[in-house]
Amino acid sequence: MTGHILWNDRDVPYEQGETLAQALNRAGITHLGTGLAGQSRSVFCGIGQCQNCLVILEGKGPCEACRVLCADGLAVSPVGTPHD
Amino acid sequence: MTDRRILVVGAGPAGLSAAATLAQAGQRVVVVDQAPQIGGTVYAQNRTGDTRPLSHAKERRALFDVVAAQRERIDIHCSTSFVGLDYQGNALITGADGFLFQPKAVIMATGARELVQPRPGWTLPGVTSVGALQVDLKTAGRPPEGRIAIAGSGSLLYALGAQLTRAGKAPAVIFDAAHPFLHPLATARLPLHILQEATGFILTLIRARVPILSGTRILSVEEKKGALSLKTNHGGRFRTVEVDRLGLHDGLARNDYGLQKNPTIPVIAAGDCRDVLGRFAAVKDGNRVAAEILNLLGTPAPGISLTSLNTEKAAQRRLKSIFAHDGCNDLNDLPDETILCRCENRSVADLKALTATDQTPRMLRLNGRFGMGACQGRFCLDWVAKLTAAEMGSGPSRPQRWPLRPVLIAEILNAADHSGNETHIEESAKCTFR
Repeated sequence: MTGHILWNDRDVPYEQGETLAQALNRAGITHLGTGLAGQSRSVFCGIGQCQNCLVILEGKGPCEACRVLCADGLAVSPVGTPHD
Repeated sequence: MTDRRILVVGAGPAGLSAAATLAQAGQRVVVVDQAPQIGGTVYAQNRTGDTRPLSHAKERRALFDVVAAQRERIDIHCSTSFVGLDYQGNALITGADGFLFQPKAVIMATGARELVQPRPGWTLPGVTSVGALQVDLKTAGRPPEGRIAIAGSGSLLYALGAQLTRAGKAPAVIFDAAHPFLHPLATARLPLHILQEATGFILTLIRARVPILSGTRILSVEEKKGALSLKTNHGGRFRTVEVDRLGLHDGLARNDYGLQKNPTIPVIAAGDCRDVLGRFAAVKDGNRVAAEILNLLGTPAPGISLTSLNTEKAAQRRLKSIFAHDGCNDLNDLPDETILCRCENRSVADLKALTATDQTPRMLRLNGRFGMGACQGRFCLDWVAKLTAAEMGSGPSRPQRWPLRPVLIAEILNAADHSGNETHIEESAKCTFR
């Protein structure tokens, strides 16, 4: 089971069981946005403790990229991206 | 009598063994874990459908079998978080399954906290904790792309190094701040199971010719042309190394976040979150705490021998001495622009400006924002406390309040209210027991 997630409207492929962070990192996307205090968003602790990899899940809100499993068509964007 | 359940937070070795012990005694248990699968970090499962044997496969199997045998009495909710306990003993659970219920006791088995010392550049993308790389390898079943360096101190550096090597991707280099190989006497007195595992790691690394540079520290990390440039210091000799990924680790610490006393029900910690003694002790500690809870509830509890717990405790003390180093002194030499608090982007200079004026530990939080970010101080307060020890002794106060993690208001509103009844709460995600 594979598919694509959308990162800023870019197709990023994933494989079964991958988290958003794993799929994004494998596609070479390690910089996941810039936080409100100017800090770089990226994976750090990998287990949902540090909150450094927060991204916006469309229709849901902020979530940790290291904890959420990919699903086909899931739209993900960096924190701080203006919404329509 | 109502048939209320016991809440176990964390589905690693301590949580699962506690749940099984409670279920064997006839109790009904609700286990929640914020990861997508059970096992915790140490027994994290490969989620890719790859069926090759995993590390610690036998121990994992033994633990999972005990839980599977009691599955009728144990509900397991993965991708689900414990948010907190109100003063009446209502537990708020959010995530894949969101509900509010009244457990009759809570066991916190959330595992250790990984310590990573701040260094200039430690917030750059591509720099993660060693634990993050390890969980990534276990769950994805394959190592990340590019050259990997591992640095800091502690046995986890060698565990990850060997696991990456066995997965076909030897790390480019391991920088160890300590001199673990200069302690043969302490090493020889480690329990056999630890010694065997360590020997396996080292042999794997030697066979793959992985450079292990002990007594070497990372002074700074910079991003250069898409790669990470590490400046290292080996007793005054400086070197620059270029890699693509850097794993940092400076030990493990107990994790008492969320361990609030409650006026209505017992809340007890088990496993590495209580005391970092490793996975063997965690299973035993889960049994022990389950028995403690059963005693408190006035029901028959199995007798638990504490001999093996004490053995692991002595072993961990020995390991600590083997990996001891004075690298924490580096904290005082950190350049002003080094970020201390990753969540709020607060630097050494920000802290110095605060401590220069007359501040109380509480004001470090309120004015300095140290410990006020989304991680609630899990990754900065140890270092802020060390840096301010001279001025204020105990360091900034630690928030002991819920929510234990950021939670969406929608999740609170959507949590199904089970506080008044005791119907079964459906598990939405099927967890596997590979």
